[in-house]
Amino acid sequence: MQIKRKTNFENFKVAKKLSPEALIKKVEKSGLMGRGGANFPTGLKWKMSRPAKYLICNADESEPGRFKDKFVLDNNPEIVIEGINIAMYALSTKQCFFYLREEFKKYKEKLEKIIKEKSKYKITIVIGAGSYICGEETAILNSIEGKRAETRHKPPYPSERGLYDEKTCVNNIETLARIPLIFEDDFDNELTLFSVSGDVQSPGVYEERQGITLKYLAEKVGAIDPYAIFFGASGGCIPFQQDLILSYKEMEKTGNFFQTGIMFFNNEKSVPDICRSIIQFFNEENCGKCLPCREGNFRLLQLFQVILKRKWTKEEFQIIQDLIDFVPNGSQCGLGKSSTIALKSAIKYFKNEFDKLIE
Amino acid sequence: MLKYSYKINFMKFLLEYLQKIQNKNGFISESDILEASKQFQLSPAEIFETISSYEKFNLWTTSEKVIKICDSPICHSKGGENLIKLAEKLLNTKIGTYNKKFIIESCQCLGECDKGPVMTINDELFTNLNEEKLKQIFKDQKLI
Repeated sequence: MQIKRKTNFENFKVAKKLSPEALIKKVEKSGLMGRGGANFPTGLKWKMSRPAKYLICNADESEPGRFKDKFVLDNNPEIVIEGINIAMYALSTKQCFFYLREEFKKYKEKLEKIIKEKSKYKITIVIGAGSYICGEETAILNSIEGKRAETRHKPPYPSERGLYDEKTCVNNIETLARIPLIFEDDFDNELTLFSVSGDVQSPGVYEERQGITLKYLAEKVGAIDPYAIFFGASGGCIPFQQDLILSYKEMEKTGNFFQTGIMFFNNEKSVPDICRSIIQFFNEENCGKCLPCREGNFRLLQLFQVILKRKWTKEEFQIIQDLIDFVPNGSQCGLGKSSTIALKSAIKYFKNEFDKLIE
Repeated sequence: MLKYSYKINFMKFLLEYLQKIQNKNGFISESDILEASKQFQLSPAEIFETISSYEKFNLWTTSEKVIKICDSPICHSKGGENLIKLAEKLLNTKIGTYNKKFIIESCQCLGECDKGPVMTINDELFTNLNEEKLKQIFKDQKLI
């Protein structure tokens, strides 16, 4: 795995020989995309944010089925710190905030030791307090400022007005970990960490190129009778197809949103039941700012709890279908917009399972 | 526009301050909120606003042992929900019911989906659970 490669800050020394502008051009040319989920070109983000006052390393990973940030922190935190150093040099930033989710607080000591020994810049570790929405790039700003974990309106984007109203660049931890690798000869911008879990023989994190087929991945992880594939909680779902290509472009055609947290389920599992747990997740984790997301997800959960006792009436199922469009249209942030993707594609692709639950 | 009071508190993090109190006392009391509002020059309502939006902060005393069983998709499909029911039965309580010794809560993804189902008891993680293992852990923790 490239991401596990040991580093002695050699690449930072190479990077410092370039001017910040040339360095940003190099990153742009490398074709590296943000690994947080939105797939935004990293070089472009840097260009827009420069000169940034703050850099934020986002390690507030709470998406179900995704555990790659923990993998990076476990295996190679040095490369992240090196990536942060390169980024701070390129962005002419003096201060970086390393935002860890509450469950990752055990890594704080380890990181502080590396920062003290190797980092040339000031990196402050901030620990969250248990909020999924803080992974969003504007909610993380509010959280560091000590405000409610709620998203802000975009625009202005953090690159214009971010933390404490200053220009800020927010990058995912995996993106920053890949920055030093740009200087290596065998750099490949398609390499991504896939987190695989569910009914497979060897769940875990795999580094593969984007564009591999589902069959390849299923064989590699030893999937047992794969039936339904869910892409995190917010990515959508699809019946197992051998030739499905795992990349952002191809996934959009299926009406889903590509997430690198891939959950395999076998045919003993009921798709509506998995949907119920996903709705429960969004019901608990939404910040409560926008009414459609807060009340819509709550109503959906109520409706899904009905099927534990009896079948849906036709009217109830109609309400579910209405809410699927209503919630994303009325919500401000990515959480609200993606909270019903899984349900929408589940009804599209597994209609027969839902039909059985209607009177 | 940004509020002045937030700006002058730069490099003094409200979350960190509250976490310290939470870790020390197990909850954040009314007097703590008033003290924080003095230190940060924010109104008590603003401090309360922050506290109420994060899951990890408590406003009341919690039990000695907080048992959190993950119920997000992977753990759910591998029997997380049944484990919650079993835990309720073993400890003869209902989910979310306060008790001086223990409280069972369902929680969302802990980022350990490859080792599901998982639970935590006061931040200590237990992975690859099944019914037998759950019983054993409860015995070891002197809950039953």
